[in-house]
Amino acid sequence: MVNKRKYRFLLTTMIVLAISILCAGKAFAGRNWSEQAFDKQTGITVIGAENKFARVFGISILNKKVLWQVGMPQSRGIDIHIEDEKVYLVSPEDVRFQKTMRAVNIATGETYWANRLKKNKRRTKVYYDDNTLYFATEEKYRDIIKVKLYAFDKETGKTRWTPYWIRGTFKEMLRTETGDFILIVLASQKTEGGKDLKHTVKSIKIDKNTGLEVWERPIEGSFVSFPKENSGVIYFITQKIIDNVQKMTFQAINAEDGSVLSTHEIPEGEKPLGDAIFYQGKPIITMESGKVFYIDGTKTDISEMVLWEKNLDSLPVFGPKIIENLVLVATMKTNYLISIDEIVEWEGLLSQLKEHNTPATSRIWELLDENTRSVIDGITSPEELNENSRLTIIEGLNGIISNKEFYARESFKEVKLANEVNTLLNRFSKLDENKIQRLNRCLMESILVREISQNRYYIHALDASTGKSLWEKPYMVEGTLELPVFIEGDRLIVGSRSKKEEGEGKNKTTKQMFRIVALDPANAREMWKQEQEGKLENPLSIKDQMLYVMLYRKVEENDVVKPAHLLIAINIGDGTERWTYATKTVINTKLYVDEDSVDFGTKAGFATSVGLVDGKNIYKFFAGINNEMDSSIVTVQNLLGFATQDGKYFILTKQGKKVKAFNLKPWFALWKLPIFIGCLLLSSALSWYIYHARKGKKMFIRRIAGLTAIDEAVGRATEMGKPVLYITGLADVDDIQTLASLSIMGHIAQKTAEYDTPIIVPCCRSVVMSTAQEVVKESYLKAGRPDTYRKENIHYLTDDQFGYVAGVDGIMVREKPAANFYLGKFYAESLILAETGHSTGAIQIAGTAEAAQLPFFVAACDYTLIGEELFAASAYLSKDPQQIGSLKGQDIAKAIMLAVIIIGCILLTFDIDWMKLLLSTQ
Amino acid sequence: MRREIPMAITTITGVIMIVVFFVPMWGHWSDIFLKWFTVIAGFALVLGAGSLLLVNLNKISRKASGWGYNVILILGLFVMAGLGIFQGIKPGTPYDFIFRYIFTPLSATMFSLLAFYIASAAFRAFKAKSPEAALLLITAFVVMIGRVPIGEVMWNWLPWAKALPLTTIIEDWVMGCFNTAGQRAIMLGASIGIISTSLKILLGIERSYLGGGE
Repeated sequence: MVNKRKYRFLLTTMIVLAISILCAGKAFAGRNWSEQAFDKQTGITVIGAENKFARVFGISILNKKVLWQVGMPQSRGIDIHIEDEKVYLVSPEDVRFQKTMRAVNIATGETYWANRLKKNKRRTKVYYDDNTLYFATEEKYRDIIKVKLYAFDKETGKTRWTPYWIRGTFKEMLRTETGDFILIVLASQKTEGGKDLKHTVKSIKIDKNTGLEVWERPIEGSFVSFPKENSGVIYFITQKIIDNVQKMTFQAINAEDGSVLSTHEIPEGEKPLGDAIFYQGKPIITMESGKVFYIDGTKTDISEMVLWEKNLDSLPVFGPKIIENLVLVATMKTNYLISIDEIVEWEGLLSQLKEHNTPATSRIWELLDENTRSVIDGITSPEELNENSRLTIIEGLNGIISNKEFYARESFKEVKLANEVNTLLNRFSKLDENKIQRLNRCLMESILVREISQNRYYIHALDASTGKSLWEKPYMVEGTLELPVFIEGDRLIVGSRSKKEEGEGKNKTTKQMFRIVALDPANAREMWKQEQEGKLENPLSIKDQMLYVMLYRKVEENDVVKPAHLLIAINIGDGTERWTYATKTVINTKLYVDEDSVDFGTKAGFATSVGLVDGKNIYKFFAGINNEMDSSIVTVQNLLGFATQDGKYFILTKQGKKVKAFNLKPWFALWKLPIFIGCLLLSSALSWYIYHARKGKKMFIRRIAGLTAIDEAVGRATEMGKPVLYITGLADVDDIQTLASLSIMGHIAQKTAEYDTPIIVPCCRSVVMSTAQEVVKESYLKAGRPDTYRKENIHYLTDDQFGYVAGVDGIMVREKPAANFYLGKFYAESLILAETGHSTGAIQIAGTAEAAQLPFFVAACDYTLIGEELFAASAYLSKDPQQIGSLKGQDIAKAIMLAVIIIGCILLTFDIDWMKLLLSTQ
Repeated sequence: MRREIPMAITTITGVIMIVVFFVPMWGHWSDIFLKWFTVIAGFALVLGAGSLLLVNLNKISRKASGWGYNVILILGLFVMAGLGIFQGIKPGTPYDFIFRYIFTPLSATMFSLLAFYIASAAFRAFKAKSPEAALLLITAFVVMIGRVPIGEVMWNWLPWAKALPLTTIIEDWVMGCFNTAGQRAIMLGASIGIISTSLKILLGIERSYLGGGE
């Protein structure tokens, strides 16, 4: 009988292990999808699951079938490239023992070739030529990082030439017009002493046919703008710090031979904004100071080098953009003085100044000079305002803007000041002249809200060949510039946001507004303007002269305010709103604009399609509660396909009818295999010893001082005639520490029942309270003293951490329990409880598995159960042979773990990492 | 049956949760169970409030010492519940006002007591009564000094400061080696204990959380 049981146990273990390995072999992909590559000809989409031990799937949308799947190590950021019925897959990392590159047949998934690039840590760039796949990667071996460039034959997967490598980290790779590579690396070299590493940025040209280095050019300093190659010249800006001064250098290198064509130091204080743009092969660079340069980098003489220079007199916020010969730069005004065109309402301004009947306007009047005052007094109606009087008023107001005394607390009591003003006022004593002007301008705008423009942003249009302004004056953007400016057809589109206040007093609400303006690129004349409530979140989508805007806003439904999106279709030609579509939830994907519909996914789990013509809902497909769309949408014929977050791939008709859904989630989480085997081994050890304990085998259990002291503590309380206080911790009953604590409480409650000593159990969770009441009641019953059980002694206090602490501390101070037990899960309250208990003179026994709280308990309590002792307590106290058997099993598990740690340490010391890889769950 | 049914529920739920951990295909089951738990906990809150009322009303009726505090507690319970139910909890409501300006400062006050308790506990713990306690005292002193700016300034006066920065000793050696090793040992032991306790509960060997006994 015994032998039969033994074999049954072993057999079960083996079957479970075998099933797990079989399941692992058939593992599907995990959740979260990488961008899918779609082949329109075959209607096959290739999508990779972004997960540990992830897989890539080939799904035929037309045949509604998962055609194939291949394993790839971690496909986060996997490069999927479809060409001539072949799919090339390049993984960013080498994880465990899988192939990192593959070429597979798109229809069958048959692998043509597969390579494993060991130790590659970061894929950098992949280029596909007619017959070669170039792959630059970073490889890590011990602490050495190498940048490697491989060239693989696309047919065979064999390397065309010995990979080029250099020690260092990858910065950038450019491809020249001839197809060769310029590799920019932060190269590491040992110094002469051989101890430290010296880092130099190097630019290396590699021949695409041989993989040999053509030239190498060390570069001093670090990159500010990354190199750009154009017409055989590589342009870049570097910086280095010498004596705490930042020095920037502009360089141009000949891509052919690596020779330096020109080097120019950028004047101190100047800094480029973003990357350069190119016009006729030469760069246009915008500096943060507002200067724009058009440069011929091949010229060494600075006077010949700068083809034109333009000072915009304001701070650029977006780098330049070039459309044909039009250079667009968006800037922010840094001059805070008021200009004549910034007065929006002269009539209002005049009446405000003349009347000056509020403390703030009277402050302005007070500081205006005599001349301005007399001019204002002399004007009886707005029609009398002429050029001279306007200039005098502007001058007078600008005098106040430069006046350090403008702000007076009493005068601005009734004015609602912007956050910016408060920030500046807090640093008032440290403000320089420019900041004072900024503060005063903000104050002025706060008083004359409707009269002075609060706009700061401008769009400048320059002629790329001459640098001259194409418009009479820069276009002033209303509000804050929002989206990158772009040209579509014959319209220049500018987006901005602003705040709009509605209502009065308590009902005052502030709305976020988004505005789109279309300008004539020739003269900046406004063609149309659209304003909507909401905040632009996603980039605009454009198709067939229509602009699709997605605005985020909050909507109120049944008294509940929740976030939602509004979709608007605007005709770029005349600015008319073709339709709007309001969602009741948040759109969490891009807008996929198809031939006749706009498709998107929502956070609530809906795939939605809206008609391009009428904005009417075509379908709303529910993929599951909060099952968000998690990939792009691909469409072929009348079908569309997308993946969702919970690992499903849906194929729908364009009318929203489900055709097929594949659950691509794995049957077994292969990456958890080490945990599974560990648990199996541990469970086997435990089961084995429990079995032997049942058979009557005697097992030794060491003395645990904290548990032995329980009798002493309860006895002391009995002698003193005081109660026992028992705390089960802060966690709910779903925490294993609380369960362990409840088990111990059962034993202690039995003791208190036997000694007729009251036990007080204040609980932090109501479920714990119910369970604790049952446990204590049973213990009293077992002790034969059900009559002494007091239900009200096991009561609920509060769920709040410090409210609970206050309650328990109160009990300790009032009731003065002679023995305190703190067993369970504790956080910051541990020391407050233990110290209060200590101050009342109680004997204290604590136990927790929270390593951070143990020192506090050790310092303040008489006995502490450390980690595993808390879980062993029940076995120790019950003396139940089965439970003691489990303790022995635990010891064996610990011995196995110790052996694994020691072997792992030794192997890693000798740089053998297979064990680490095997046990890793990453 | 009073024992068997809860034990069966525990075993079945436990096994399902383990399976779900390894089988992502059924991953949504863990969410469903967690939702069930939330529902049960919601109902149990009524029990909790009932218990709170019972205990406090009892003390008030008996005029037990400090019964005034019990009156305040019950008032607080009803006032907050009433305000929350009838006027909402949005910013600007009386509920929000009491929460922000009474409850939060009181909580912070309780938490701030910790600073003083750490000082008093440290004073007792760091008495060099034995060689081990002396070692603890020295280590604590080094770590504490290393964590304040003045410590680094003082250390930098020493001739070997450049070769052996104070942060190297504290971060890499004391905290990185001894402290981490000790904490991990406790965590490993506790983890095995957790697995063992879970297994005992699943197999029905550990039943004391149900009130113990047969």
